[in-house]
Amino acid sequence: MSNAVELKGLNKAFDGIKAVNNLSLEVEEGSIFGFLGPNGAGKTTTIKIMLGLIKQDSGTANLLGYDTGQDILKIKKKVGYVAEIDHLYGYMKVREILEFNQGFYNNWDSSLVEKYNKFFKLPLDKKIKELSRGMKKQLSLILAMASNPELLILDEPTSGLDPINRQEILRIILEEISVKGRTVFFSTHLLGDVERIADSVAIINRGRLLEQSLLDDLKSEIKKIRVVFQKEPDPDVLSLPGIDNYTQDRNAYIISVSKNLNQILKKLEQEPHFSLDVIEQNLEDIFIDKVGDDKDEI
Amino acid sequence: MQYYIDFKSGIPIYVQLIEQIKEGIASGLLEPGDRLPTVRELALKLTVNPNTVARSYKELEREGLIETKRGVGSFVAQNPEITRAASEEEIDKMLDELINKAFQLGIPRDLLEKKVSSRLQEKYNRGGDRG
Repeated sequence: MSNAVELKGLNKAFDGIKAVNNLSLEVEEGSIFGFLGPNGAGKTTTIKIMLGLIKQDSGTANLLGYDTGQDILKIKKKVGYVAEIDHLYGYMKVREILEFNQGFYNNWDSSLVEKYNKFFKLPLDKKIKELSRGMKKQLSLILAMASNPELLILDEPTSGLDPINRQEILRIILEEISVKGRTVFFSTHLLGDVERIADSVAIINRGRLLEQSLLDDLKSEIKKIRVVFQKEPDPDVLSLPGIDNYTQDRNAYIISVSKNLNQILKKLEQEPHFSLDVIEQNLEDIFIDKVGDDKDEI
Repeated sequence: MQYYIDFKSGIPIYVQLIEQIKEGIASGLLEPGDRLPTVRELALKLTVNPNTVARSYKELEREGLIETKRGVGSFVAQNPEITRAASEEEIDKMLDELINKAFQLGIPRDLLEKKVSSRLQEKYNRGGDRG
């Protein structure tokens, strides 16, 4: 299976401050990729490099087999993009911007545009600056999908939307892009959305990659174990590979595990204990742990 | 059959789906030959990734619980064998959780035993035919 996105050793600094720091990641074709990070982590900068909107200081970005440095026009024909902050011309009417965009693409899908204009009930004769925030996002999404992109890049597509709007947008992305086997790259700090639809996720902070994994693997592997021993445990079991750290209150321990869960459980079970249970970690727990830990290394 | 995903849970979505379909089969809510929703239908209905639904179906197929006929759909297998061992394993896990919880709450052993057996009594005396 080939990759729709390949970033290798990307670096970008603004005024000496590293916004993107030696970032490498891969997104498999046909998957939904969640690009996660707190505000200011470097998500938008990375996306802008991928689209050729800004130039990296070093490293390479490859989309759909094309290098952004050499073939940006080919990339733009095959990639749809919804920006975080609306970049639509406010003075144009909805109808006008749809016609204007159509001129740039050979494979413009008028029936899709019509379908979603009706679905969202967009007022075609209103000026864009008069639209609500939700409507602007909806219009951006229609514009990005209308060229039948092989890769859809979304920068915070659901932020600022109400839950119904958010769910609608996710469903449309699934229906128009994913079930057709195309790739979605989407950045967000709204973890619930990623938890619903992503195959794989990357977590970045301060421009650096903290984690990249299949979401199911992440959830299957990262757990906390709460155990109350009957006496001091063998110190070896607390340093088994896969144990990241633990906290202790007398004989009660909470052990953070990121790998080898089953082996660790087997060893712990052999120690005399009163109770032993596994605490499931959802994406938000995992995210807060990873990003929180990252701050201590400064 | 109603499908429901707990998105806040730490349990992967594909595992939640597998468990629900298995429970549906074990409880008789899904009968042999019943057609399951297509991957696309279920993904859109639940707003989850189609690859996730496909993964659940593949796993269930591997276990012989469902059969997929190309271009027709997925169906509950004619003799779905939810093995006794697998069911017991799940019950053991839940019992362990119960016992741990009781310990943490300071419920003594004899009280827990009494509670479990009185609950069982209640359920099965009320016309339960599965005892």
